[in-house]
Amino acid sequence: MKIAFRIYSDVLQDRRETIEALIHSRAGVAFALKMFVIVMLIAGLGQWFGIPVAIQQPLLSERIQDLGDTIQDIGNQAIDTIDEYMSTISQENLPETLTRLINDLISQGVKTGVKSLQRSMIEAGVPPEQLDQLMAQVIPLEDPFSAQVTGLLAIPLHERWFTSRFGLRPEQIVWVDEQINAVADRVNEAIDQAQAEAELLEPPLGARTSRLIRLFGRWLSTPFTSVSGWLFVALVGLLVAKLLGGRATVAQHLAAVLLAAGPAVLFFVAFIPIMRYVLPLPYSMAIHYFGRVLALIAIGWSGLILLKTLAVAHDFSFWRSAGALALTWLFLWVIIPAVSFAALAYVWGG
Amino acid sequence: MSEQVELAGVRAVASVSAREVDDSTGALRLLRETLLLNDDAYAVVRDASSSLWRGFAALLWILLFTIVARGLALFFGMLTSPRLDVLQTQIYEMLTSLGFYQAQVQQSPGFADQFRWGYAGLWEGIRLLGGYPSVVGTASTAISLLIYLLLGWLVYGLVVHVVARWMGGRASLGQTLGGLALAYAPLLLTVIVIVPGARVPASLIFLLILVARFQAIKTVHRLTPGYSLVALITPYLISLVLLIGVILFGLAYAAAQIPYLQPFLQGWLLFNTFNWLW
Repeated sequence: MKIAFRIYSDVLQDRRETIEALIHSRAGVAFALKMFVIVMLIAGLGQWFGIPVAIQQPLLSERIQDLGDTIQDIGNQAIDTIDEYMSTISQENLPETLTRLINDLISQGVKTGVKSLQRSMIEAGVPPEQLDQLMAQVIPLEDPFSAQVTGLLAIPLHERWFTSRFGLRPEQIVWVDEQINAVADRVNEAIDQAQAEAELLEPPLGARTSRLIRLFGRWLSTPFTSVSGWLFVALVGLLVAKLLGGRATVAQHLAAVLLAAGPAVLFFVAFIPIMRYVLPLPYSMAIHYFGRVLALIAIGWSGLILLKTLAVAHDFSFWRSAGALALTWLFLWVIIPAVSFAALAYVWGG
Repeated sequence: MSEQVELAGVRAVASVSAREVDDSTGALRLLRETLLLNDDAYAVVRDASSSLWRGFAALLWILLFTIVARGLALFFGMLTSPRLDVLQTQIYEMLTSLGFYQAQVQQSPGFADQFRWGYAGLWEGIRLLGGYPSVVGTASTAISLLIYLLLGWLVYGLVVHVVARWMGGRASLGQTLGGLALAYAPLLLTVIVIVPGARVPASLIFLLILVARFQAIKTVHRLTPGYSLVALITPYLISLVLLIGVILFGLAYAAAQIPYLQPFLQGWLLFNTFNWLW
């Protein structure tokens, strides 16, 4: 273990003797592979910072519950707003005498209201004989009117506005009120049902436990997902190096590339996911960009080691090794696309 | 002096880590050495008394591990994935209670079976695209793997053998096939999918198999790297040309069924001819 750590340290320090001993030994590739896997698993540990996110992220059933609460809050706020608005306008734009009349009728009962009506008529200068005729008509209506007003008294203020504005009868107001409540009940029922079905969809081991297990699986895959993009580049690099007179075998060349991944432990911070539900967004973004800075350092450091390891593996000078890397880039981004385009143009053009 | 001691330590680690492979090495050990890009494993198969059966035994181990791993991946995947079967059943019951469905069933007796198969197929497609575990998906992967491994091994091996012999190779067909069987060792990396959430990119497996095949051809036929590369890529080029041919002639057959396309193509050819003349 101590010697392995010393070898790793020598690779990071770009020591030629150690690199030469590894690449030109039979087990050099095995050591390089093991080193790469361990380094990437250590770097991939940054993903475990996602554990609080995995635990605190709401489940589908919890999201549905939140949605239902939000709908209820919106509904209640809407009704409160209407109530407030109606109570304001029901007292505006009416003559003072009529306002007093309505208040008397509603708050003090019909009989008091009738007396108030009589008083109002006298104040308005209605002749006594006309007043007697009017009272003779109003008083027999007291009982049915009283029933109507009693119905009005039972209805909240916003519904009284509907009564006065649209001429709806009290029993119609009650029916509308019942329909509104029935819709609200149906919405609540649908949300409860959706929540119950969302709970049925959860994995057998539980959603949060499953998230943790999958996080473990993603961590185990880190070496494979990291290398998959680079292996093709490494193989093209091998072709280019061979064209330049390189002497390494496939195994030695790949060992040289894998040894250059030594500084990849600096990718640890870059693997930390965005910590929603745990940290404020500015801190998450700071971690993300700090991780990219460290990753840039790791890439530069790996590049320097790669120049040495390729030079040792292929028996190149430093500058020949740099030329091989530059040519590899040229092959991938210029020559291969150009040749492919030319081939397609030839076949299509005839 | 301390530096020399350190270097000796490095060499000691390197030599201790090296394990010799010989004729007595078992199939699993050979596969392990192949994964570590040790081309001595191919030399062992080449020099064995029965190279073909030695390689075939390794191939069977690869098949066994990968198929068992897929089965375990299905089991553990179902424990940690959303239960789409519940949603599938509920939506199916809702759809079959619709008036439209009832009317169709009354009109055409076979509609119910067709709908059930089509509906099941649609959900298998959803599982496949979403990466959810499914019994049908796992079974079809296992069968495809079996066919790909055995058929691919034989057909690819035959073409490589012909090209390698043409390039000056000295191995027999049995030695070629035995060596190429070991080259499927990177498939063993897919065992990691037993853990839910773990995956190995298909491109990585493909490239590693490509590298292993190169090593196998070079070691078994004792060719130079250049000729080995030619023998390696020739079967892929032949497959690509055949695929292009199938696509072109398939499209031509389909286009010939469209009545209005032919006059348009004639006009286009005429235009191209005038263009060329001008």
